[in-house]
Amino acid sequence: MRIFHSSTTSVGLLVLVLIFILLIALIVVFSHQILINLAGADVRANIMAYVVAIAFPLILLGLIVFQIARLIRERATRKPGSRLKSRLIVFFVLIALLSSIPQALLSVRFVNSTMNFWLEARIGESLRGGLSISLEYYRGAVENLREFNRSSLMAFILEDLNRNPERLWKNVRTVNSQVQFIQVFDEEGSELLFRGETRGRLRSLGQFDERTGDLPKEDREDASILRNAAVYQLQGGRYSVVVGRLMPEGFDSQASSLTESLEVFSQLNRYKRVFRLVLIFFYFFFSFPIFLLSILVSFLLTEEIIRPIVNLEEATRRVADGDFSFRILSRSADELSHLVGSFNRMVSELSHSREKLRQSEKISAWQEIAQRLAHEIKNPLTPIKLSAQRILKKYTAEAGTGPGAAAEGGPSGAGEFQKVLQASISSIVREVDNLNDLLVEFREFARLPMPRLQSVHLRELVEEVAQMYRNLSTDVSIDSSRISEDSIVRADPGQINQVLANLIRNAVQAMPEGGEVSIRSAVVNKENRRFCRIWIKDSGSGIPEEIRGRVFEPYFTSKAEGAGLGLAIVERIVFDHDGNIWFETQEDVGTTFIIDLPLGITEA
Amino acid sequence: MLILFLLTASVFLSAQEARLDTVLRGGRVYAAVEYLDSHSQEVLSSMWEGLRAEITFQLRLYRRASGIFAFLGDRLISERRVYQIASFDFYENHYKIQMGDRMAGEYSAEAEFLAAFFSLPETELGEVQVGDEGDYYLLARVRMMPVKIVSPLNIITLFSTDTVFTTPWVEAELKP
Repeated sequence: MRIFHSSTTSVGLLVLVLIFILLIALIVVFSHQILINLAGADVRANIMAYVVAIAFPLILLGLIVFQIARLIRERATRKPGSRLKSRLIVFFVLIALLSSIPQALLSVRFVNSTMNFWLEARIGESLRGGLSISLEYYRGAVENLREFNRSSLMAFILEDLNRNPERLWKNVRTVNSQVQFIQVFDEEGSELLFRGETRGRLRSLGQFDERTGDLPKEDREDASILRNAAVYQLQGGRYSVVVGRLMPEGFDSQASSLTESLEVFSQLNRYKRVFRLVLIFFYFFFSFPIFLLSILVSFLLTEEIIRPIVNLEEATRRVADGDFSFRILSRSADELSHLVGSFNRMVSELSHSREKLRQSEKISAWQEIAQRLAHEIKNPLTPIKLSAQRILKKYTAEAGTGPGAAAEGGPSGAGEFQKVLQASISSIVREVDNLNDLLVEFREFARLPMPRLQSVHLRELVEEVAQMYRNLSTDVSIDSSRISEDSIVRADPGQINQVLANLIRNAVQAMPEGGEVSIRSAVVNKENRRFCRIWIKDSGSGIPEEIRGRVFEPYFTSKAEGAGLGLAIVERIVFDHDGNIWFETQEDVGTTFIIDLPLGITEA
Repeated sequence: MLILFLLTASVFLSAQEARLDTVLRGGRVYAAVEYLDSHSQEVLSSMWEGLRAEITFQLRLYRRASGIFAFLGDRLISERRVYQIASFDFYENHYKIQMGDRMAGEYSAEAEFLAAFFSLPETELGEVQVGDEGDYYLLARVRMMPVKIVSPLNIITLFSTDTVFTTPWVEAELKP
């Protein structure tokens, strides 16, 4: 029996899942490499990513080309299912395209909208405005210190330098509240005075531009400090006066963020066209392998989908050609699997019915022959027998009453003839009786009635027949202990009795030297049906190979006695019970007849 | 396809020149590089727009291969890459150059700033065996971006030919 396998291979699915995971991982790694780690801007540093990003689609493309070439070859050789496969692949690709085109349009649109939103003109204006304000504030503060430190008012206030430093500081604060500290150095650079915020105190005064007096801004962790220095000639001495202030907390960091934001915005604005095109390019660059993968998946899925259909088509063709040995296996549990199951059942029933019909036709033919033989031979047999008996009777009577009869032929001659006549007549009568018995068997075979089915206990039937043969033969033991008490078959008890009797008798006769007949049963499932299987095994000499094919033929026997109808009747009865019978034999080991009978209904 | 494009692009980008000077002191090799460009105006305009510029000096010290293994190519003894990032401080009103993490200089005059930005002062590259100086040579090239493009915008450098200017490798012998 050739069997087609129709199954969804888990290996194929696993491969698909792995490819998908690999692709996603590559896309994530590559996009990360491109979008985040490109700051180094060395192409060679990203060479691996490029190679993988290009090699992977190329491998996919190669696989697809290979699949297309294979499909073309299949179509050229008219392989079953190739046309359906082509159509399915085209449909799958169309579906992939139909789903990806709107997605691509949406993504491009999304990128455009997002960029337009972020690059809105007013955001740039706001950033620039913020920077201008902060610059104005900063420059205002610098200018204020510069002007104040060079004003005539400051020269007037400084007159209190030696007389009353506290008043000097108070006056500075009164005139310019922005000044938060003042520091005065003498000509040698020694500090003469410091008042105000201590963080602004300088250890020494270095060189500075006397024109503006601006000192470099000091950036500290907690503040940034602005200072301005001026030189005054007071009371015969030359003094350097430093005034300063602390910028508001967070001013530096906020100004820095503002500058950076403006930088990013300016870059986006400057390169937005190129950047948009690059983003769109990378979108297609990443989605292209996914599209290729979906095409490859369509090839694999199509193969999985059409395989059971192709198998069914092939099996149908074989069955139509008369080969009923085809079966299709399916491990999946989908509708196609049900279809495959139905097909298998249909083929099985068709095969069974065909076999039954063939057997019925054969048996009917033999029954017809048997009936004709019985009819043709039966009629002349009775006159033959009666005539022979009458001849013997007449001769005996005449020989006994006529004294001259014996004298004519001589006593010894008459006696001889009578002896021969009596023996011959007895032989004729015996053979006619044998023929009559044979005709009875013919008639039985020809008029075998249809079984009247009922649920019967197999063990009771077997025990009844086995016991009969146990009584008849002491050299042969019959073991029927391995038939369970709850084995119930749907059968005609009389006919099954005949089957068992025939088979057990054959088994006993196959062991003239003695031996053991073993009978056992079990429940089996066959083609979605449950049967009671009965094994009847002998330890005889086995059936010779040359006659194994004719064992069930009517009028065939290897024994000296019998019409050769026993196993033919057995086969007929088993078939009529919707069962099956076959045998296994090995010379000098023994023969086992195996019968499958439908299971009966267990009594509650 | 992408790689082909990138390779082609890198060839087109290699139109600028650089000058390489080498000094050998006590077995130590020092190199100074100057970028001879025509993009100073682009750098200044990007400064004024609040953008930053970046210049990368790449230096390599090679020893010539000889004998049966010459076909394997010359041996790379050492390599250095030095980045300089320039910006304009609107608050202080001067140009700033940052080298790595440290501040390299602040300049009020444009010419002074450009000269500093486009040149790499003497930088130690490695040691050579005294007496074998003739076996060594240096290569240098400069990669200049008038606008240092921030991530992820920097992907455009793969496609845009006017964002990065790269000089060809310039060779200089190591003279005792």
